[in-house]
Amino acid sequence: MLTPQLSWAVGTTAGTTISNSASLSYSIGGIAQASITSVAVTLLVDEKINLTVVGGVTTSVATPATAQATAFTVTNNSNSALDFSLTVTWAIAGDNFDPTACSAFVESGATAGYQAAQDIATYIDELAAGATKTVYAVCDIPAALGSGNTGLVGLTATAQGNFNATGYVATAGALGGVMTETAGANTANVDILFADIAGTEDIARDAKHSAHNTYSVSIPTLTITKTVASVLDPSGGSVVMPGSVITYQIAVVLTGAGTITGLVITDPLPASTTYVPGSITVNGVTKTDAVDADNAQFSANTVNVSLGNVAAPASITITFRATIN
Amino acid sequence: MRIVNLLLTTTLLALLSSFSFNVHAAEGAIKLTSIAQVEIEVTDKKGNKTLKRSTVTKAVPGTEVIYTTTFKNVINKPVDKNFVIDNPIPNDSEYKGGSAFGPDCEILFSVDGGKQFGHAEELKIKDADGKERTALAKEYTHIRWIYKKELAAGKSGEVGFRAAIK
Repeated sequence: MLTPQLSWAVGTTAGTTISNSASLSYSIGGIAQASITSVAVTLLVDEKINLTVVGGVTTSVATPATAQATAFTVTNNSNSALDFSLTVTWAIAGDNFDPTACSAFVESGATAGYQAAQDIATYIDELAAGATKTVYAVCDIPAALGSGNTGLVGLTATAQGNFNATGYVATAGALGGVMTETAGANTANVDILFADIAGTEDIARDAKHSAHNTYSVSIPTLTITKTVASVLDPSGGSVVMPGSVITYQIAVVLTGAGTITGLVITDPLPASTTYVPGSITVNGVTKTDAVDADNAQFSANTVNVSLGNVAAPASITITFRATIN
Repeated sequence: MRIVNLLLTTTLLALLSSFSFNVHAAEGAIKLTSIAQVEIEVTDKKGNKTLKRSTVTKAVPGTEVIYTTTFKNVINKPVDKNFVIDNPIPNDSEYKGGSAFGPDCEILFSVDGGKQFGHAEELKIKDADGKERTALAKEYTHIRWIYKKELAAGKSGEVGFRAAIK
């Protein structure tokens, strides 16, 4: 068996026969003779198992969070189509937390990005020589982590196949078996040579490759600013006096990345003011005061707006009016 | 009589060859044999590294294979000079530039499947945009050796080249 001198990404398919033959035309004493062809010398192309898993992606997540996907790519650099089993690891040193309940799913190709309903395959079935697939590690993120905390997640892909006369091959719809490298001298059939390099979780020449991605906790920064947007006095001016109507504006600004959940803005009315009924607006949309389906209400002398889950970046403007007593 | 003799010799050789399984040879006035080898680096006890050739029957993509064709005059008359040996580049293989060898031979290449032959610098390829450029070694399809001397009875010679498995 020979060590490859890499020049081609994938190479001639395993089991191919390469044939060489020369022909000779000649004359004797000026008389042309029938040409001669040498018996062909043939070579059988062995199977070279090689794959790469590429990670290095940082995925921003909230704390806690469920089913957070982070994408890897798996490339088959072998000279035959193969199946690839997938393993996710998460107890990895060098980070602040360990993600939990991790699984690996193969991108189906139906919709870009991880789709829980579509991307359900747990191994790569029949990946052609030279082809690449996106694989997601999908993990839960624990609660109460600090902003900027990191958690590493590793993906290991293992080339698998079923052995026949042309080496290991993939079977549609089923994960092939674990492969064994041909030991010692040449055999009569196609020999198997592992040519993969070491990954983050595996050694060189083991028909596996692996890489890490990073979950980075991002807690968005919430800024709430209340201002007096305008004052309208009884005579049409802007003097603050009994009878003047004040328009209050609350600006809710979410910066950074991530999602905050169950955000509720409450604002008790200032003393000596009377709420102007029906004056609450959220992003310019007028809301009712009743405790009902819309997300705003006025009760117990307090303006209450439920914003629910808000993904950063976001900017929400709430206004309401009150009359000075 | 001469022709009859020649035929007899040919027949005899053909018969003989049918009993030898491992020799890749063709018979006529010239015995033509092709072999495939690889070079393996061998380190001796002193740590000196040398390249040793060995016959290859299987290899992984990327392997550089040395193809050698030996010709031997097996009749009792000389073969005229300027006899021609053609060798297509094997399938799934790429000719290694500058590797063709053949003492006393003029070496020509083809980039059109063996229709026309020329020296390396004369071979042109038309790109997709119609521009002509000198062909690259990996685009060669055939190699031709023209032996410039007479091959005396019993004499032999060899030609060859290197090609990597794609």
